[in-house]
Amino acid sequence: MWYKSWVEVRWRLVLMALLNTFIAALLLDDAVPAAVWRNRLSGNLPIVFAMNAIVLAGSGIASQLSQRPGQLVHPSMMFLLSMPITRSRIVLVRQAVGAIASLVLMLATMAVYMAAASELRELFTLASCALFLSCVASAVLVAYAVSALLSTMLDQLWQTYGALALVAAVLGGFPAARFWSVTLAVNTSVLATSTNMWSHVIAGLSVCAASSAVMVWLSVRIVQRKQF
Amino acid sequence: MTTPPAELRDSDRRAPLIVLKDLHKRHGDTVALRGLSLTVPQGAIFALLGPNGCGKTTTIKLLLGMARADSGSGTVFGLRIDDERASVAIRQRTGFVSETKELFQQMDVQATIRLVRSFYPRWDTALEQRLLKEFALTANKKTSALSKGMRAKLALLVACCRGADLLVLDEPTDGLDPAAAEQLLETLVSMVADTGLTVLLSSHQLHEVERVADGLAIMRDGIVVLHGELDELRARVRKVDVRRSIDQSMFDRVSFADTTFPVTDGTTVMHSAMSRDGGSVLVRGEVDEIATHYAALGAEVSVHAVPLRELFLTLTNVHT
Repeated sequence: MWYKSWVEVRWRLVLMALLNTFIAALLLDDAVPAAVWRNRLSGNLPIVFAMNAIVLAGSGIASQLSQRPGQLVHPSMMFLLSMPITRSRIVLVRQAVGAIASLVLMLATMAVYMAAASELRELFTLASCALFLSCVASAVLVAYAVSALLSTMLDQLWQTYGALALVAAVLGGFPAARFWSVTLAVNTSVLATSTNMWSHVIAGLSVCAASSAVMVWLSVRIVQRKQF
Repeated sequence: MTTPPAELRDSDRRAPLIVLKDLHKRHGDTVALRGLSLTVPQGAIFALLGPNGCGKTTTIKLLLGMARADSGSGTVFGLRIDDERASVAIRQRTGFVSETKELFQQMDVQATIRLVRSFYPRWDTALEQRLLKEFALTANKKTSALSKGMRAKLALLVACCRGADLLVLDEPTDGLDPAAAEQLLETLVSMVADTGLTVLLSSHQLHEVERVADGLAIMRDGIVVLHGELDELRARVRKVDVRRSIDQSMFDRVSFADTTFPVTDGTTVMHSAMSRDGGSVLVRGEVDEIATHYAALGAEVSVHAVPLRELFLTLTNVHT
């Protein structure tokens, strides 16, 4: 199942790596002051990573099924379900592979930024960079879990649109979403200037981890109860 | 009028591998199964026949845990079909080919085989090599690039080689050329003979079913309307044709539709279509009393065996 999930994820990973490369080429093109880099890292990168995660979480078991007129049932659904494997394992392995791919892409992208921009290396220590990545990763995990959850209910296209809309709403700063975990985790990272940084970071990480766990559990339950 | 069949008779001689009791299943407003009961004996090729939409695929999905029945119960290998863990154990011992010959689209032939093999410790490598050669499958070709026939062959290969105790095949020869279909049927028959494999075969190819099946069930509107061993059906199912004799006096004429014919114990009337001047009765069992009854009323009566095609068309109301 790991291999099968990897086969599903690999082209999405290539596509997202190309997207990140394109964005990096734009951002790394000019020399800018540290304040601009702060904004780029706290503003742009979480959105890019969230987009990566949303796409990598797609194509789950349920998003492969669509019975609306004019659309065919995905031609591997019954084959997959006829294998001697529980549905929870199918969902969890697929989500794990996508999450690992998201994390690898995030680390690789950050490494490219650090390697290519000398201003960044002067601005941040390795430890502060790791803390920033941890906070962003936990926020991205929420975006990933949202996308994975939607993929158990919606077909592939609507799952992507739905997840993008939700995450964009949160990151875009709808007033009601100000206290949402994504905003919290990103804004309380080392790039923020909050005086209560650590308590906010811990709170943000906890909220992100808990909400992601709930959504993963819901995804598993939905697929377990689904009739194909 | 079609009467549901009595319980399985001759097939009882073999231990049942699949037992389904009074299964009901709805898809929204559509009733897919309305009290389906079915017994499939072990070590046999058993055909599930019926017109489109009669509930065959739903039955298969219930067997493999892809859907759950609204009510009723079922077991395969003695394991409950509605229990998730038991369902995994059932699938561990079952090979399945769907009607659409589904496979993982992003993989090539070799990767597909490797993936399926990893789930089945009893994988038959010798049979895999034999079928790869006989089906002329190219190892590095993407499954999405395979023709319908080649996809069917690959789906059959990965179903047959897993060392399964049960094969569930939904229209297995659909898309195959006659030579490949013949080859497949021979393979199935020899596997059943050699390994005691049980095959549940859903098909519209009645001539193929007649050739290879040991038993069959005909479904209509979500229930089984005929169920039994093929040899027994050949021997015991008869059609009584009744026609008014041209010599009969006008004053002696009675309406055949108004008379009730006698049915002996152990005999089932599966279908009856009688008008004033004649008609037919489809019977499983003794027909002598029915024939005598109509002959006594002055009818010309003929009794004949019923080919599977005619039986199917009559019982599924496609043509009466």
